[in-house]
Amino acid sequence: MLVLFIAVVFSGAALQLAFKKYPFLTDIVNVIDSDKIYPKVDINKATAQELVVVPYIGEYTANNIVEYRRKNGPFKSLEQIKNVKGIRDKNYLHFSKYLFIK
Amino acid sequence: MLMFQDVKSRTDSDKVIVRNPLLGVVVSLALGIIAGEYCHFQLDVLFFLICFLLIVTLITKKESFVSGLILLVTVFCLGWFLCQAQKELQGDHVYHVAKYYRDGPVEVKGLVISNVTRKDSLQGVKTSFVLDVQAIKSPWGWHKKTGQILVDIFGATNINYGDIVKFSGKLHKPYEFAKTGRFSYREYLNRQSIKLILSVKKNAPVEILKRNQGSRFKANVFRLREYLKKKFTDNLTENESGLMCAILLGDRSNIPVHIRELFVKTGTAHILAISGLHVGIVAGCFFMFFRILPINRRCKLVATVIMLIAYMIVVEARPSVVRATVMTVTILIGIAIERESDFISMLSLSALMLLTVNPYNIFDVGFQLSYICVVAIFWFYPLFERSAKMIFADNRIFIVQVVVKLFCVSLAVWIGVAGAIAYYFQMVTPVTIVANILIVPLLSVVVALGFGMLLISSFVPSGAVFFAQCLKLVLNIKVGLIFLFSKMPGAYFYIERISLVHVALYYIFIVLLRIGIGFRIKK
Repeated sequence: MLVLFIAVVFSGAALQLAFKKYPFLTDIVNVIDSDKIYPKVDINKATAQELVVVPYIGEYTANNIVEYRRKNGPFKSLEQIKNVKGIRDKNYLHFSKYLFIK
Repeated sequence: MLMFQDVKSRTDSDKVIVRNPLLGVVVSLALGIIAGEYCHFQLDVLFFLICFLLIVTLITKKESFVSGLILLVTVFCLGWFLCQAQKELQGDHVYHVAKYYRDGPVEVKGLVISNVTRKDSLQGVKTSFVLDVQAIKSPWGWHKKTGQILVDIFGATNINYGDIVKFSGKLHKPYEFAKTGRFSYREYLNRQSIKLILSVKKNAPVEILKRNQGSRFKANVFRLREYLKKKFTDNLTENESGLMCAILLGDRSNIPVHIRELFVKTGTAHILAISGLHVGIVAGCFFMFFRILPINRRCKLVATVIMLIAYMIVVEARPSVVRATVMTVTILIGIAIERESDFISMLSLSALMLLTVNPYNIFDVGFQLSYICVVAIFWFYPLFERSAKMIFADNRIFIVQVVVKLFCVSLAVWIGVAGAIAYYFQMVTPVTIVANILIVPLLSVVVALGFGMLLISSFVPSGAVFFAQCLKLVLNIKVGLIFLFSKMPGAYFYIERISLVHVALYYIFIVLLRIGIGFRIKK
């Protein structure tokens, strides 16, 4: 038990020192806060079923996005999605990080 | 002493039901509850039927088979009765008058009986809690009412557990969110006896009439949980502490949505719910902690049991936690009195407790998955392990043996839960079998480090940073691995909705397969 405790304290101190001395290590280790792990969906290719899986997008919004795309053609920028019925700035802020355009 | 048995007294010829009478009782109770959910029967008739059957059981007690059979029928009726009784609402329940307040806001007074959660939503901060309604205002004045409702206040408030509050909002039935899957929010709340939601607007006046009117014990439990949560938020980032609160404290409200999705896609979402693995590691941590103290082994075991029960209460005693705690506590008591604990009896006792407290637990996805997992491990693991031993008979490398064992457990669990996962989430996740081999050992380290951090930060706050750094590293590696697993080709795929018949056929198939293989091995 004591050996384990000392090992944890020692490793913790070493990590603390390493993260302070080499800040780039923090970026490498910090996967949870990184936007690289966001599951991104191509807004111009995704079907309504695929859009529903995106956090903060419900069935209603997903159908509206597909309908907008059908009427107006593919989205040219991500911001254009705000023109879709039912999407406001607040919603956009929440789910824009899960979308991309190829 | 149904839970414990002498090792020598066990024989292969013993029949499962005869050796484990609790199993029969639980199965009868569960069937009764399911019958009660789908078929309506008069409550008083059921009550008299139960009394009559009990008398008949007592009369026929000499003929053990007949009286046993009648007792099982009695338990079946009891399950039916419990389910129906749960559905019945009192005459002055707020649900009866809710329809008259459909068009406008209604003023309600009541006691806050749950922990108050504050969460970021699309409309800003949302405060939610369960309110025990005391009175409702009509044009003719206040009327006494009963029943529990869920309150959503769109705005930050300083309401806490035990407060008597007054506010006005819109009273409505829970909405059904038409997302994929079979989860019904309305049914989920109904099963907790919550039939209505009161939505309070951001600028609506909220008045706290009295403070600290709830149970002091419950208030202290909530306070302790908040204190422990704060330890995580002080030492970790927001996302990391959200994950740790789920893994160790059972609060899943702050897990980032995209990370939750990763866990679901790789079939490792069980990590986010406290289960047998978590409770086992926590028990190990407590036992190791008590080893420092100069007390005998039996006292250490008893202290561990007490702490485990306390832990179960602090983390909200969800079905999977209760199941795991009952089983771990039984094993520890068994060790203390030097008797072997019986697996089926332990499992049955935990199920009996959960179903008696709330019969609707049987319809809870967490309850079902938890029991399917354990039964699958119990039934399939020995078979897979035997096959693996044949293949790796000459291999003496420790790591290989551990990996093979983990693979066997993972495969057993996957076979067990695949049907339920496909039914509830329309997903098949083959990557789970491989992912668990790496993720489960990492989870053990995460739980131990998290637990150590909570203990150290309570006594020496400045020392928590060392545990926090190690925890950060392991937690991030774990999530990183899960992300990589989710990117593997064929890691998961969505399927069309399947019916209950398909699921039943799947389980019948695997049960028959297991029995068939068992017979061949015996031969």
